[in-house]
Amino acid sequence: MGPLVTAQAQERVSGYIDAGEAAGATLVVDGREPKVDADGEGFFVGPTLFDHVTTDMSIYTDEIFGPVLSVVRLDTYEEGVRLINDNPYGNGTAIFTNDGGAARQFQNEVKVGMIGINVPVPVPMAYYSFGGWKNSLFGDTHAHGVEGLHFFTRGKVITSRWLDPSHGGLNLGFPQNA
Amino acid sequence: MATTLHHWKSGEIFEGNSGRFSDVTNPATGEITAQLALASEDDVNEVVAAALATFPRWRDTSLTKRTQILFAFRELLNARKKELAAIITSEHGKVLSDAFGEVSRGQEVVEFACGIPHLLKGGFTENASTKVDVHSTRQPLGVVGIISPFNFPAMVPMWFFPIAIAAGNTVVLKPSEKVPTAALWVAELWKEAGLPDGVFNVLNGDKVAVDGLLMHPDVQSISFVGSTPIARYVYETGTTHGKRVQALGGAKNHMLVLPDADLDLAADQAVNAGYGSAGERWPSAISATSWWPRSSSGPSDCGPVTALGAATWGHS
Repeated sequence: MGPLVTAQAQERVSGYIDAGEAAGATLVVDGREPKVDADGEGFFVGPTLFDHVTTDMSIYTDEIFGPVLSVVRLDTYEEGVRLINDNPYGNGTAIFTNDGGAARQFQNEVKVGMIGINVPVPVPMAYYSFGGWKNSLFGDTHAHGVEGLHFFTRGKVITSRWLDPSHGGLNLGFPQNA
Repeated sequence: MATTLHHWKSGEIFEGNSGRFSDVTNPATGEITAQLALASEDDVNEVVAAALATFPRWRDTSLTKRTQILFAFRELLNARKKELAAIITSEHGKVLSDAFGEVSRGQEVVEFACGIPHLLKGGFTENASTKVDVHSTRQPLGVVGIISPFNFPAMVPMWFFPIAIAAGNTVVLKPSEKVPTAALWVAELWKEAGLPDGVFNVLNGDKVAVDGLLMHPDVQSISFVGSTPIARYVYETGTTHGKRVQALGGAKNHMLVLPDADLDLAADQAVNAGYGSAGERWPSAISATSWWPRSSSGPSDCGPVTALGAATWGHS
């Protein structure tokens, strides 16, 4: 895998790893000092995995935007859905199960714009629309697909009548259909 | 000496007058590869004016002609997307296969937009009232602004501009100042595909450029992707200035693993989602449950996820 985009991003992500460790999560894989095969001073952070993460930790609450995965252990499906629906973001989510009923219930009750079922990154095809709910999207239309077309166009409705020679007279009432 | 990158206006490079520049780096080596011109308010006004001047002509270009240009762009992009992928890797840092994948997903929106005549068809009602007919149509907005993030230098702009252009709008794209070259490459490709000068323009810059677009009276809409605080700012500022806005913000994407899941699959997919593009594309958390009422399976312990995480580390 490649580096992060800037030195600042590298520092920020490393800071989150420090914070997760200090908060008591189990650091299973530490990417802070990766061995890399690129020349120079690239902005690399290696894959990082935390286990036993709790929802008060910054590695859980914040969008890290780096290669840091957090495992939160739960007892029940309901807790999982509550966690997702309590989150201020609503971009994407995925469920991994072989139970069709569980998947069907999940897709119905999560407050999220894009759902994967045994698919981790459910980015919609071009002819559907990409977009999240809650703090993941401000506005009324998602990107591309028919919603994209609607965003980039305005509707116009034209009502037309081509007059007969017999037409005449004024009517100041609200137009009614006859 | 690093090269200098500017803006793109009316089918050619536009240097602007700001005198302000920022560094573009290669994240894999830390090297500064270019100096990027950051737009002034005057530069914003000039680029928007060019897009506005082109709008009536492009709006009135026939659907047949517009569609032919979209097909030409698609063919050029398909033939040369390795060049674009290499540009993305050099400025963003994602691996080449990942960059190529991003271009391919963007290309799919170009292909969708090639069907624009069908998408723009309206409805028609004959004799709605006696001798009165009603029909509907959809018309382009005018100059549309796109403000895109660093994590997808090609795909995210392509979520928007193919449809915007196909529908008859003219575009001002403000790419992330960290990854500006992809947008300039795309601008040249549009020119080669036969798009009239001034339909697709690139404005490079920072907050001056963003605010310039958000507040400009001749910009009709803003499509934005970035972090939630900035998305909120873009939405509030853009709508206050009378624009249509779609502002996509941040995320924390949960992956819920039930005890009956195929754990090897779930683990592989977690590694893909969490570590691909160095985690700069699909911010993730894994929630594993040990109990689901419909299942009689035993508790899940996330074992394969931790094991695979360790393996990936060893190979990095």
